[in-house]
Amino acid sequence: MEDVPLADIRSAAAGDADASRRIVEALHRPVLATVHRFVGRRFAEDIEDIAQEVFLKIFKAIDRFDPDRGVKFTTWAFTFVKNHCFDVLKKRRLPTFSLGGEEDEAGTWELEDAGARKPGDTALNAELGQQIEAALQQLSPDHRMVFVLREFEQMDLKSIAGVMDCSEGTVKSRLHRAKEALKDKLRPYLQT
Amino acid sequence: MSPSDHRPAQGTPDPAAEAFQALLRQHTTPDPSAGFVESTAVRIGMHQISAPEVSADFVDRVMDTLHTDALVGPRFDHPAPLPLATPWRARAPGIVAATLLAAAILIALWPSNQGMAGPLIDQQVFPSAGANTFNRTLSLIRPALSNSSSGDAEPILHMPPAPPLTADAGAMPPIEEQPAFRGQRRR
Repeated sequence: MEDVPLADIRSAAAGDADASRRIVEALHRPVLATVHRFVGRRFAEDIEDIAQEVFLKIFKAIDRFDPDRGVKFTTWAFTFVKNHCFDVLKKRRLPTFSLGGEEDEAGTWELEDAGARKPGDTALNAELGQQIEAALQQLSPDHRMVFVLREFEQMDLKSIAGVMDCSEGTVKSRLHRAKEALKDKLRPYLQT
Repeated sequence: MSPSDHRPAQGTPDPAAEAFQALLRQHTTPDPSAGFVESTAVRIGMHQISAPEVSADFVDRVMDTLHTDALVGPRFDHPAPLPLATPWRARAPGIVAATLLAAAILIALWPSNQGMAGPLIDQQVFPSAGANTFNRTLSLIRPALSNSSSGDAEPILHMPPAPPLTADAGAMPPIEEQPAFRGQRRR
C-alpha cells in the first residue's frame, strides 16, 4: 500500500477539495476491503456508508497528522478504520468468537462440508469465499483485524502495531494464532 | 488486494503455506460503486469547515477603533445591563434574619403572666426564695425598730414584732449543725 503524498495531505488539511479527492481515490479500495472483511457480509449494504464515515473522521482530523512523528499517513488513517470498525461491532452487537473454541451465545457459524474441493476448482469461487469469511468472523476482532491487515492488505508488522496500538510481538502472536485457527477451520479446503 | 506472498526462507516451497495463500485468494471483495469516491469527496467538502481568512489589516483596524473610543468615547450607547435574577438560595440568609427578628419582636411584645411565671421560676431556681426574702426584709427593718423610742414596735404587715435588741443580742447561740460535705459525718 503506497503512502499518500505529503503535499496532498497538507493541501487537504487546508481545505483543498482536489487534494481530498486524490486521497480518497488512493485509499478507498483498501479501506472498503478492510471494512468488508472485518465486519462481514452481514453489513454488505452498509459497508460503503461505514467507509464514508471513516473518511469523514480522517479528514476531520487530518490537520492533526504530524509526518515528523515517523508514522505513515496510511498507518495513521487505518487507525480510524480499525477504531470505527470496532465501534460498529460494539454498537450493533455482532457475535464474536474466541480462539479457544468458546462461542458467544449470540450464534454460531457452521462451515459447510467442503468434500474434495480444492482452491483451484472453478466451482469453488464465491462459495469458498463465504466459507473463508465465516471462518474469519469466528476470530476475535483483534485477531481478525491483524490478520486482514497483514494477509490481505500486506501491511508490515510495524504499521500493524501502530494501527492496533500494541507491540510488534503482540502482532506476531495474534497473527500466528489467527492463522492456526483459520487453518483449522478451513482444513477441509487445504488438502494439497 | 491479494494475500501476501509468503515465501520460505531458503527458497523451498511450503505446500501448506501455498495452499493457504491460494485459499485466501478466493476471498474477494466487491468493487466499490461507481460514485463512491465522488460522493465521499462531496461529503468531506460539506463537513470541512474552513474559517474565513483574516484580512491583513484586521488587527490595525481593531486597535484604531479602540484608540478612537478611548479619546471620544464609545460611538454607541450600550444598553443598561439587565438585573441579574437572584436565586432563592442567595436570598436565604436575609429570609432567615428577617424571620428571627420578627420572632424576637413577637416574643418581646407578648403579654406575659408575671404572677405565674415568677414563683414558678423562684421555686425552680431558688427553692427557699420565700424564706430568704423574709429574712432579708427583716434584717432591713430591724434597725429601724431598734431605734424607736417606745421600744414597742408596731406590728408590720401583721407580723409579730421583732424582739428588742440587747447587749447580748450578738451572742448567738452556738451553731449546732453545720453543713457537712458528702461523706462527712455531721457533728
